[in-house]
Amino acid sequence: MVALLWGPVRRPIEVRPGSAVATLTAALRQAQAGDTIIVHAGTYREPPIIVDRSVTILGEGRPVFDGGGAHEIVEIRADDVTLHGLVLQNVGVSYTEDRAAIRIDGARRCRVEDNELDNAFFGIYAARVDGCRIAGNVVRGTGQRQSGNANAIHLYSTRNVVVLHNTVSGHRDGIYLEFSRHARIEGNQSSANTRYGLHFMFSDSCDYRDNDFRDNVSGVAVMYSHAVTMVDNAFSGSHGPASYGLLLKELRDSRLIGNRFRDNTVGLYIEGTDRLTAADNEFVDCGWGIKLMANADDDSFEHNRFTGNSFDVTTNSRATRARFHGNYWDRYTGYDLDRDGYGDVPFRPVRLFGLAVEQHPAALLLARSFFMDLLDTAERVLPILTPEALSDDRPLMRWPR
Amino acid sequence: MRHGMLLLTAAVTLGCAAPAPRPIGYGTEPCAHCHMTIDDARFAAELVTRKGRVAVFDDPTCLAAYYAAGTTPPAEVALLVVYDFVTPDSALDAATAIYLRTDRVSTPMGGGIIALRNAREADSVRTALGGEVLHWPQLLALGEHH
Repeated sequence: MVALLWGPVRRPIEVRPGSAVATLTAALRQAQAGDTIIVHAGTYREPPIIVDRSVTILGEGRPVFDGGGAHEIVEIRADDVTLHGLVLQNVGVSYTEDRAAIRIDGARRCRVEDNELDNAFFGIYAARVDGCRIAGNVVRGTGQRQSGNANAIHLYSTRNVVVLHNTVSGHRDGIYLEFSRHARIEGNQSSANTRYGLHFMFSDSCDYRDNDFRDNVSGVAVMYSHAVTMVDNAFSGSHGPASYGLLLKELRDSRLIGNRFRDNTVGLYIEGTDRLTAADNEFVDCGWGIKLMANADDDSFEHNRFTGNSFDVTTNSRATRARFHGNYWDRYTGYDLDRDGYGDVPFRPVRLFGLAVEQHPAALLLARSFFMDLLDTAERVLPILTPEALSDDRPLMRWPR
Repeated sequence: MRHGMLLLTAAVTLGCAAPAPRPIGYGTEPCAHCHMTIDDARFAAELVTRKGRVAVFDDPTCLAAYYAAGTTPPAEVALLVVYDFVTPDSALDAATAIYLRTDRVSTPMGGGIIALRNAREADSVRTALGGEVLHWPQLLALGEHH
């Protein structure tokens, strides 16, 4: 009765090495829209596989697809395709084409889930797609520097894509977005990538939260974008002369809330970024907590915690127009006579020494010298060189546990 | 002896006086314009001043934008260098290189602009990748918008 109402239920197509249907390519040739293809364990070496109809492809027992270091492995061109439980490996480097283990081109509502990708050039490359879900995949690159390595998950000109609980490492950028809108990047772990853990270029109205970015050359770069929401992420272990936990460049109207910056050379680097709201973030054990460049305008920093940093905030100009209000600074030595929880005298987080280092990096040699301490104290009493406007008028006395 | 001194003097003066591009620390150095880590030799570029100071870039369009912004006064610029997409170890004069804008190559700044040695090379790469040929003044015009 049900079968009559819903039409005939087609049996899944089974792919097994040595059987009548020995390749995924052969299975796709006989598949109709709505079919399920079950791929059983084995190693499959096929020319690039084009998925041009709406099917569900399920791996049973982790079947392996090997590109032989020569070509792409799977390309999804139809709407409503699911790709689940496959192992894809050995795509091979190309200097003239952007080869990927899984390419999704012009498709809607695909699901690419629980796959394992090893030694891919690009891992998952989604171009011109809408409403896809990329979840639970593990993408392991070679960690090789320069052109031998491309991005693990690459979104180009996408809308409404969800990137959820993936583990990506050893690629150029772990997750990369270009000309993409309304993407949600959540709960991923992105580590040991040779450029960025996550990288936005010209991608507006996106949201990334609860991700763990560790030991990347730099954690995250958000560039030439607006209305980006950044919540509850962890940035750690980015060390080097050009390394940041988070780099914001030409970003407008964005929110940075509840993130943890720990053990980075620079926690947060801000340039050409206007109307940023930064609240409830923690900057802990960084060389520089925040580097705020002069052309950043109308940014506000409220209720953030700064502890154990060599420099809490530095800037390259006296004319910085950022507002600091109600932050916790472990260097604050003021008092709270009216017992309202806030210090009664303002705190100036920019040390004179920080400014000196900004202009002459070699001055770092003088760190912790008596002379520098003297200068810092003198400057704090009578600010001449440090930006006067850059001060916290209500520094928190205690960080709430 | 006199010749020796002369040679030494000449060597020292020439050594100082010849501004040249320098090797880029890939994976560690930031682009002087956009601050991204420079990671791919195929798209790198450099600006060398008469005094021998070098600014390095991750993308030819960053060099163009930096130069167009006049951060370094044009009179002080000795060399504008881009690297050949096909053989990235050869430095090219940015003003005479040929550029190709193609959506088949993912470049650091997303513009798909690559530098090529000459018109012949540009033709063969365009046959493979498609796209549109550009010259340095067009890059500068693009740079002014960045």
